[in-house]
Parts: sequence; structure tokens; C-alpha cells
Amino acid sequence: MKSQKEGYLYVLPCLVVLLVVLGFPILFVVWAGFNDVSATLQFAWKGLGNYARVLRDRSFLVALWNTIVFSVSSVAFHLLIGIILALLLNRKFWGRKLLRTVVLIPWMLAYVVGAITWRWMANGSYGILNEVLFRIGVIRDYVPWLGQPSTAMPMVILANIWKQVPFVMLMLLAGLQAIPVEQYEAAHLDGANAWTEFWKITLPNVRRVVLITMTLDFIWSFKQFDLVYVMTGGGPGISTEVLSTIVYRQYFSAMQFGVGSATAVLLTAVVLVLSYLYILLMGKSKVSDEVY
Amino acid sequence: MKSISLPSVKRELVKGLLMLLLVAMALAMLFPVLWILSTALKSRADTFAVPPRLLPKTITVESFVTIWKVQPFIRYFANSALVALTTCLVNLAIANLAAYGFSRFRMRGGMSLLLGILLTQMIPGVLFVLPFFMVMGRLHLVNGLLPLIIAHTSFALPFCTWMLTGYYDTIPKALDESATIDGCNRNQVLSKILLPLSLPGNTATLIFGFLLSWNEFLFALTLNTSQLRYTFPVGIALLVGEYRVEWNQIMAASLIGSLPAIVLYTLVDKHLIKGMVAGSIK
Repeated sequence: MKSQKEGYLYVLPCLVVLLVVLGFPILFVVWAGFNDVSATLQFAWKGLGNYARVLRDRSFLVALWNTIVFSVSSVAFHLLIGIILALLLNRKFWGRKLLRTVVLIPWMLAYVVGAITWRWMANGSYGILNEVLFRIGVIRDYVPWLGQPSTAMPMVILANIWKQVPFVMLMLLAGLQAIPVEQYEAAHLDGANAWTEFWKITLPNVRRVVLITMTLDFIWSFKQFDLVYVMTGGGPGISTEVLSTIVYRQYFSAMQFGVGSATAVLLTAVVLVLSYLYILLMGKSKVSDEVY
Repeated sequence: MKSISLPSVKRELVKGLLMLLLVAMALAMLFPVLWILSTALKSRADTFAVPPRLLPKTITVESFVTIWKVQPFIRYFANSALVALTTCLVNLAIANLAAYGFSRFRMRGGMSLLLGILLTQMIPGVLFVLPFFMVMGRLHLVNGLLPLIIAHTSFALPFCTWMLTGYYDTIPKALDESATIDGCNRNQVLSKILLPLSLPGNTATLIFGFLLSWNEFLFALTLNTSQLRYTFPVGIALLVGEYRVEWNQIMAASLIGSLPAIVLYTLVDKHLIKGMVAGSIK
């Protein structure tokens, strides 16, 4: 192949942009995490002091728990609903493309739009959710969904489920469509029914896609900011705070730049570990193996 | 006369039920969007009707008219458009160059580099917010749109580079070679052969970059404290924070601001999906 030096030249602009624009901030924040940083950017070395403080801080622990609950619930329901939708869309019928595009719409919208819409739908006095649930008899009275800690987080999770299910569905659908038809035909000849086909052929074949999608979905849920910030701002109290919003609060409400940086580093560390897992799952072979 | 066998009737029934289930689920997914539309078409009194009504009592487009007066939304959309357009164009240029390098040159550590680039896509935005804010403040660039463009470009770059590299990989290297034999140098191979052939991939890259920027919230919120520089997401989010919230107007604004996303995504549907699932299906 061609000399490798020239390749670096073409890749250079990309690398320079990323190193300067993203690389420097990473170093800055990591350094800040070890310091007491005043509002005027005076640094005072604190070693692991910030980290010790953060890991004992109640709001951090609450946010950590919320983030885990948020992510696990989101991924679980995404998979459940996503696989059903993918299976239903995996058959040829008139209007299939249209339905698939319709289902995809929540994913196309900005998180902010989704957050605002759900905030309005979950409104305690004028929300349509209350009215619908009341009419069908699920609730006896209007519920202030976002106004009380016990129901706020579930509502935020519900919004996230709605928002990202299309993506999971899409990945699973692609996985389903990659299964060779011959496997089904052979099984059919052997007298297998639909249930057996599902367990013995469908599931094993999509295992890899499921794992990859789950990991990606978990990472995105774990670092989610927009949805929570716009829908509840972390409230009521700190009942819906997640790690990203806690960092933001530490930075811009409390002006605790050092502590905020430490939290941000912790969050990023978790995400990077998960991302590495994601990359391992994707396999080491170059993208070029993929034939469209 | 042909007799209808019982198993085939049962099969048709099951198929019908499954279709029903699918349509029901699709409607459930669509409901919030329909609710946006319904609220946008309501009058103020209707919006706050007790109990809330599914459909407007009388359809009115007053929200779509008043929203521009209530807040400088024209300004917001213009800002969003400016940032998004610049972002996607700059992104396109850099990503294509990088993709050419990754696809056509065997570099030591090339794969690791590409993966490393992809990894930066995973880092939470909040990690970058503080240094960005500080540096831009120092450089007196806060409340200009340039910092936002820089931020958005670096957010879109990793995925677009990766997606385009995959796309370039599908173009046979034999074409490169025949072009070189015909006397093309490296840059001409890129511009005359690869770019035209990767038009679908590049369209997807363009649109992805545009929409990432258009919908971006965290940095748009943090880097611009002057209302004149708000982008669309910030504009509607801050509307909600006000004391008297005119939900019909917010929904109208949301609808308008979501149109680019819906239109553009539908256009590149196929290619974006290919880019996304590439590498995860083997």
C-alpha cells in the first residue's frame, strides 16, 4: 500500500482539532480535580481531597444511584419494547417503511423537545397523562408526577424510554434482518414451531447486536444531561439528579470548580470503561470488512 | 368450491392481531408528537382547559403567529442555522480528509487511532463545559457563536470520520489505482473519484453534523448568556422556566424547530442506519 506518512497528513486536521479542542479541556479538568479551584481560577493543590469529599457527599451518592437506576431501567425497557417492535417490523407488509419511520420520530427530535413535551404531558393540573389515566381508571385523582420525589424519576425514565426506543429497535431490526433465511427454512423442515424458532435461531443470532446496543444505550443513558435538566432540573429536591446534572450544579450553582471536576472525572471514568467494553464487543476487525 | 382450512384462518387471525399490536405501539410512540401538534393549535384558554382535551376545541394558529413576538425566535433560529451550517461544512471537510487517510493508507496504529477518536465521542459533555467556558471567557469570545461552532464541530467529527471511513472502504481501491495510472495525484483521486462516489455517505455526514448542532443544548446553554445568541433548544428550554408558561406557544415553537430534524432524518434514513449498524452486524 502507499507510504504511511502521507496518511498522517490527511488525518492531521482531524487530530489537531480533537487534541486542541477536546484534549486540552480533559487535561484541565483532570488537573482541576486535584485542586481547590476558586472562582477566579486560583489553584490550590488538594490531592485526593476533592474525591474524598465527593464520594462522601450525599447528593453525589443520590445522583449516582439515580443514574444507575435511570440507565438500567432505560436499557431494560428499551430492549423489551425494542425487540417486540423489531420482530413486528421484520415482516414484509404494505406500509412497513412508513410505520418504521413513524416509530423513529421520537429519536429524531431534540432531547430538549422531548423533555419539554413530557413535562407538559405530566403536568399535575393540565397534563393529558393525568386525564387519560384518570379516564381509564388507573388513577383515582390527578397525580403531580413531577412534583413529588416518588413519581418524578419514573416519569423521567418513561420519557427516556420513549425517546430512545426507536434507536434500539432499529439496531435490533438490522440484526434480525441479517439472520440467514436458510436457518429458518431448515428448522421449519425439521418441524420447529414459532416459539422454538425464536429461542433456538433468532436469539442466538442477535446476541451480539443486543450486547452492543445495550452497551451503547447504557453509556448514553449514563451521561444523559439535556433530558433531566430541562424536564425537572434535578428536582424535586435532588430526587432526579443524575451525575451530569450534579456536575453542572457544582460548577454553575455552587461554583465548586474543583469538586465539580472531580465528579466529572469519576463520571467519565465509568463511561470510558463501558466504552472500552463497547469497542471490544464490536471486534477488532477493520470497518472495511463490512460490505453494504 | 375451495374449503378454507382452519390453520390458515388461524394464521391470518394471528397476523391481523400482530398488525394491530404494531399499529397500537406506533400510535403510542407518536402520541406525544401528536400532542405537540394539538397543543400548538389550541388557544390559550383551551390549552389550560380543565379537564385537558385531546383535541383543540377550535383550531387556531395564533400560537404560530404570536411566538415570534413573545421571544426573538427568528433570532434563535437564525443563530441555530448559522452554527449548524458552519459546523456541518467544516466537519465535512475535515472528516473527508481524515477518512481518506484512514481508508487508503496503511498507518501503524491507524486502527487504534480511529478507535481512539471514536472514544472521544463517548466522553460526557459536562467534562468539557468548564474549560470551554473559562477559555472562551479569557479570550473574550463568550457570547459569540464561534465557540459554539468549534465545540459542535469537535463533537460531530469522531462519528462522521468513522462513518465516512467505512463508506470509503466500500469503494474498491482498484478505482484509485486506475486513476493513478491515468495520471491523477493523491488529491485528485480524492476529489475526482472518491468524493463523487461517496455522495450518499457525505450527505448523511452533512445532515448528521447539522442536526447534532441544531439540537445541541448543553454548550449552547453554557457558552451564550446573552439572549441575542440563544439557539433554538436554549430558547424553548428557557421559555419553560418562566413564571407564566404559554404552553401552546412553546409547543408551536418546538414543532417549528423540530421540522428540520424530521425532514432531514427522513431523507437520509437509509444511509444513517448503514453508518450506525456498520461494524455491529457481522
